Amino acid sequence: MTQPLPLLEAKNLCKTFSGYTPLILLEDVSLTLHPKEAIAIKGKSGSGKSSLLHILGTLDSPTKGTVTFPRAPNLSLEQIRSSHVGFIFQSFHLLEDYTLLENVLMPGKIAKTPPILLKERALELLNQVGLLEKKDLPVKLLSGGEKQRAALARSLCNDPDILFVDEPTGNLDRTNALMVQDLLLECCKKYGKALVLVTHDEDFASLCDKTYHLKDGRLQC
Amino acid sequence: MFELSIALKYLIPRKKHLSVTLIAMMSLAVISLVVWLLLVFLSVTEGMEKTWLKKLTDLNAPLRITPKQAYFSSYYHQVDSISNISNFSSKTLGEKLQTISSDPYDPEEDAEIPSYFPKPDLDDKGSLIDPVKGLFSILMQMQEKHKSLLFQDYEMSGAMLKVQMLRNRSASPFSTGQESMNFLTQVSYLATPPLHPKTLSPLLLTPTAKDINHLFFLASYRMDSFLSDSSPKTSLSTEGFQEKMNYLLKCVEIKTIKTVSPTFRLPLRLLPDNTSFTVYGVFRQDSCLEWFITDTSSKKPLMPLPNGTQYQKGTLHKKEGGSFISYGEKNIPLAKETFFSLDAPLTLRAKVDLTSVSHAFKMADIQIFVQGSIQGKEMKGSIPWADLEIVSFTLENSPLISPPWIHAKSEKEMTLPVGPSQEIGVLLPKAFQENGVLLGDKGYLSYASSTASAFQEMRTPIFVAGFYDPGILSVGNKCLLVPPSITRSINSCNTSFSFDKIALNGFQVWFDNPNNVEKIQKELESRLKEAGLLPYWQVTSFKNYDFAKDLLQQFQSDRYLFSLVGIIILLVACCNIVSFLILLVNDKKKEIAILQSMGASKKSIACIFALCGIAVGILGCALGILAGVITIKNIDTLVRFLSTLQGHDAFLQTFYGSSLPTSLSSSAILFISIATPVLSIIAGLIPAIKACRLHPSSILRSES
Repeated sequence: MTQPLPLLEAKNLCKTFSGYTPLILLEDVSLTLHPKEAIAIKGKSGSGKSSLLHILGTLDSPTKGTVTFPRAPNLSLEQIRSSHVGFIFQSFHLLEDYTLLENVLMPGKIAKTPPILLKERALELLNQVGLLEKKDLPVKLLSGGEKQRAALARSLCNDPDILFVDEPTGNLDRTNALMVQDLLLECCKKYGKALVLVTHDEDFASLCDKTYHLKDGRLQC
Repeated sequence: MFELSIALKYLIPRKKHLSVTLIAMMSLAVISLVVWLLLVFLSVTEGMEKTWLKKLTDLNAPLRITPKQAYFSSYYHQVDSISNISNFSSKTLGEKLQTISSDPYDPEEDAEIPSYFPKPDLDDKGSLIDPVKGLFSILMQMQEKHKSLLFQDYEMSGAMLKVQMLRNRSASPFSTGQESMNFLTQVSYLATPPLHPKTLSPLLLTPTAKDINHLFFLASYRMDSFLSDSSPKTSLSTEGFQEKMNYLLKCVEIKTIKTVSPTFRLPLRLLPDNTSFTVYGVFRQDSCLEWFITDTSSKKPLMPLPNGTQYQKGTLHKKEGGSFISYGEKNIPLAKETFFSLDAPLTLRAKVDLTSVSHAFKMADIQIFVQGSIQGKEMKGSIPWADLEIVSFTLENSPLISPPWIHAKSEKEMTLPVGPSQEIGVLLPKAFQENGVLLGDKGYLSYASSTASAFQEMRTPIFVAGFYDPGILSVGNKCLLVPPSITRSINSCNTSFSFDKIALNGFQVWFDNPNNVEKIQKELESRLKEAGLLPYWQVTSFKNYDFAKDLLQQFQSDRYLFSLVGIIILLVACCNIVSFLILLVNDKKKEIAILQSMGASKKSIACIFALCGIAVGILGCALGILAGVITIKNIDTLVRFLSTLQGHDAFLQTFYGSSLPTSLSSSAILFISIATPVLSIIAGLIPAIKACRLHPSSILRSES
């Protein structure tokens, strides 16, 4: 039986910052992500978790090594970001001058999805995260928890294969954090998404299929 | 297209982004200002250039045909000097055109042709080639094809002009006995005016009220021996006064007149009965010197008073039975023939009583029926024509009356009038009018005629029959337009002004659109070539006239220079867009990174900022054009405002004409509406490139 193609393959990733005292952030990191797999990356602050996440999500490039998406060959970085991956950040990074619905629609607009389908999908996602009633509010009026749920809806807009989630509950209180955590896992399950989660939260990490530790630039199981 | 929606979002002013909004507004304002300035400037210069060109081509025709040396050395031209029929003198082109036979030489009557004489140019049939009639028939043929084509022969010459200016020194234009005589002398060019109304009318200045007043003033005088060197004898003369007045009143219909202050006295009988007026008496102690009536009742007279006198307010009661003035507690009865002084001129509607002219011997004998209002009350009645000035009038245009100014004889021809003593009407350039010459002034043209033993001065009497606008030609202010008879007689009397013979005589050709000049010139040349007449004629377009060439080349280089300056100013204005966009990029760094994380390509990011740049450029351009349109439409008001602000005329009439052009230049709009967006795209490129080079990862991390 042939092994199904992985969603993401990172090989021998290195990230160094040259300067007066060169800093080695990542060293020989390799990782494979399969469909519907949820992995958590833990580590101390400043250990390079977020950098690794950005490199995996093509927002940053490694100093050495490669990140490939075997299921989406021949696609440009922009196309991969647009249709294969979704991001959720610790500080939400929503577009402040837009309404909630406009924020959720934006990835679809960038990917040039037909407007009718797009709106339908956005409304369904907002319903899923429980924010349908607030769709016309400017995002700056939402609470932290709501913002993160909105970010979740936005990341799912283009139906990506992988969600990159960077400490999603870091800026939230316990109740909201649990709510977002549950919703995230539920959505991943429901829509069949692979998840790469960077977190400090042991409990959250333990809910994933695999947990990695990033220590001294190396990834350990 | 999400790029457009984002660009629009960025452009909408927000309180939160005050600095970006301010810079955007400033960029918009600077671009609008520059576009407005350029548009107005280019439109005005283009309009002026068009006006100058129109004057140039109206006066001098867009095309001139002059004889070449081959014509002057031909048998056809020279034969006149040995033939009796031609009076043994060379003929002008106009005279040649009127001859019956091309060859006036009669072997039986005239002396033998000398051996050095040129041989006649013969055509295929053996008859003498007639270059003038040949050219004339070609022009006639062309006139059938091009309906707007007009042509006329012209002659040029030169003479000394002396104008005698009889003027009235008193404030009242028709008071006699205080006249003075001034002289104006100028060496002048003489040229034939274009006689078709279509070309001449736009150049003519309509007679002013001052001109008309002067004509009536001159009617009281007789000028004897005005060709003499010493001051001509002028005398008040009643001889022919009635005929002169009748003639002038037929040519001019007087509409309104103005009273002359302070000499005019308003008769009591003009005021309506059973009304009362506020009057001011000038009192010395208890005796009243005179009564003033002001045009509005609330106003005190403006006249300064002599020492020891003072104004006293009173009320005039005009009654049928007997009028009186009451002031204080006194009542003064008034005689029927009481007159009131006016402190300011009063404008009245007027109609001359023509029956009174028939037994008038001076102006004051003529009665004018006037109507007007004083202190809000209507008054009317007849007053003698004294201490009055004509303000508005209409000129009779009927061809039956031959007025003493240039007028249309028929639909196709204008004519210069001839005075009663056979003095010939001439047109003077505008500059003479500015120097105080008026319509009707008499004078003479002086030129030298060579006789067998000596030069003799000849004088041709002339009078001013109008003024024309020569445009900005350097010789324009010295060029008199005279009937061809004068130039012909001066040229035939030898040349005291030795011009280039070739330029003296030729044909002028007019057509509607002077821009077609090359086409018409080519057609004419090819027709002349076909007829074998090209060796005799030189066809010159206005672009190559000696007196206009430099000016036209200057126009051309001015245009290039202005366009270059325009582009540079626009470029500077568009630099504002660069600073606005760089600020915008810095302000929107986080959004750019978020959009990139959602898959927005570098091209899209660059596109958003380029669109912002273009939008500011186009909006600024549109606002500038709108402001330009409004300015151009109201340019006269603006010029008046500028003139008031400066205390003198903002624009010299000699160069800019009586009003600045009021039409927008389409080429300027085209230039601006192409250049501005292109330059704003170029300006938007730098920040756009900066925006798409941002690293989303570092921004997202630093913003978290």
